[in-house]
Amino acid sequence: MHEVVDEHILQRIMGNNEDAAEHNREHFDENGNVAINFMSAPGAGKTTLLEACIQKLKAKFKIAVIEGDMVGTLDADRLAGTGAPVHQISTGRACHLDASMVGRLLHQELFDKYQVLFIENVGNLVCPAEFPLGEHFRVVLLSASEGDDKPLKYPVIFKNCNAVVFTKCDLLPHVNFDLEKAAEAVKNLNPEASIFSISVKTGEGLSQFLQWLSAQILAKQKHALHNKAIAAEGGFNVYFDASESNICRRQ
Amino acid sequence: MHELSIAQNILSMVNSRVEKEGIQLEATAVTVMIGEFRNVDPESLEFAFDAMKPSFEFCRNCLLKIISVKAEGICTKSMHSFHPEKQNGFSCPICNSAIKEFKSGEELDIVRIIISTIDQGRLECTK
Ligand SMILES: Nc1nc2c(ncn2[C@@H]2O[C@H](COP(=O)(O)OP(=O)(O)O)[C@@H](O)[C@H]2O)c(=O)[nH]1
Ligand SMILES: [Mg+2]
Ligand SMILES: [Zn+2]
Ligand SMILES: [Zn+2]
Repeated sequence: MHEVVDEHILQRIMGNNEDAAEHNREHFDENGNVAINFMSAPGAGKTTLLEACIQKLKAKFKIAVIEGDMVGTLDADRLAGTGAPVHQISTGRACHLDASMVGRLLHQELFDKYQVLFIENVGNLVCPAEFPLGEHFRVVLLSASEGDDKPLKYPVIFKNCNAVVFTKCDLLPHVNFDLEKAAEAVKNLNPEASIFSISVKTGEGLSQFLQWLSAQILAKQKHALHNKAIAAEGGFNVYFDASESNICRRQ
Repeated sequence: MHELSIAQNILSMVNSRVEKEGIQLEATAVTVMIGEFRNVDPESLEFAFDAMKPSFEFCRNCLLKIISVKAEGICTKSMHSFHPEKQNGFSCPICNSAIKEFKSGEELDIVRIIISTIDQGRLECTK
């Protein structure tokens, strides 16, 4: 046997997902959409929080939802109850959404014009962390009925997000969950992350989270408008170049 | 679970690399670097890699070598360099401040591929 090539290279193993995520991001930015990816272990309260967020924000923004579930449409049906358009991605055996699944949905152009896209990822604290979808913001939920050591056990997802929401805080008096301890680990891993403690059941802390969410969405929209204005003046912002934006629609 | 798609990515990248190189060649080894702060379990990855490699034409005899990379954080307060430990809640052991950035520990890359001419003897055997 004869070695012909012994190559030292550096190739990103997740490059295909990263490229697909970037492509999704171009779609979002082109249309002025703000996309937010909600992740947590199963049952931490994603669907419940999204229902509440949509109810409170639907007068302000046009909201659409992508619901990621391995099987069944239970959560999608719950979210559709808010009146927002919901599209389900059934991942089957895959325990996370990936960027190409979201991309296929975006290319079908099923949604009417919307401003905000909530994505409920598959319940899992491991895999979704490795599959960015092109979203602008990531929110990770951790419920009081889980362990306060989750950020220590699953640091990657808590490190790579914009906000951590401790949910079901109405249960705190009844469970052994040390909020301080959980928050400390998050702050050490991710000092920039915003941290919230909420209960959708009692409404406690919800308005702070909604305020944060609205502020992020508005800031992103303002930024997009600014870019659009630059493009209109003949600037070189490629995202809003019409010929550029038609490329993938023709595919 | 996602180790399956990671193994698939590695194999298809290696496979197309061999294809580009020419005929009568196959990959005999691929080396990957996996950071401590990536959600990849080396054992599951090896298992998935071996399970899937028969379906990649030029990877059937490819060995997977994994280099695990320890995390190194830089602290926010004093730029101390340290290994983030669970028992400290990942804070800096010297000044107790948070991690500003990771110098290492977030790698997930192919760093080396070895391509060889196909061993004729073995080729005949399999016929
Ligand atoms: N006590 C309490 N239960 C909640 C709260 N939010 C959600 N739940 C319950 O937790 C369970 C799982 O919630 P769900 O939203 O389906 O979680 P998901 O799997 O993350 O989407 C449901 O039975 C909810 O009623 C809360 O704030 N307090
Ligand atoms: Mg749900
Ligand atoms: Zn496209
Ligand atoms: Zn320090």
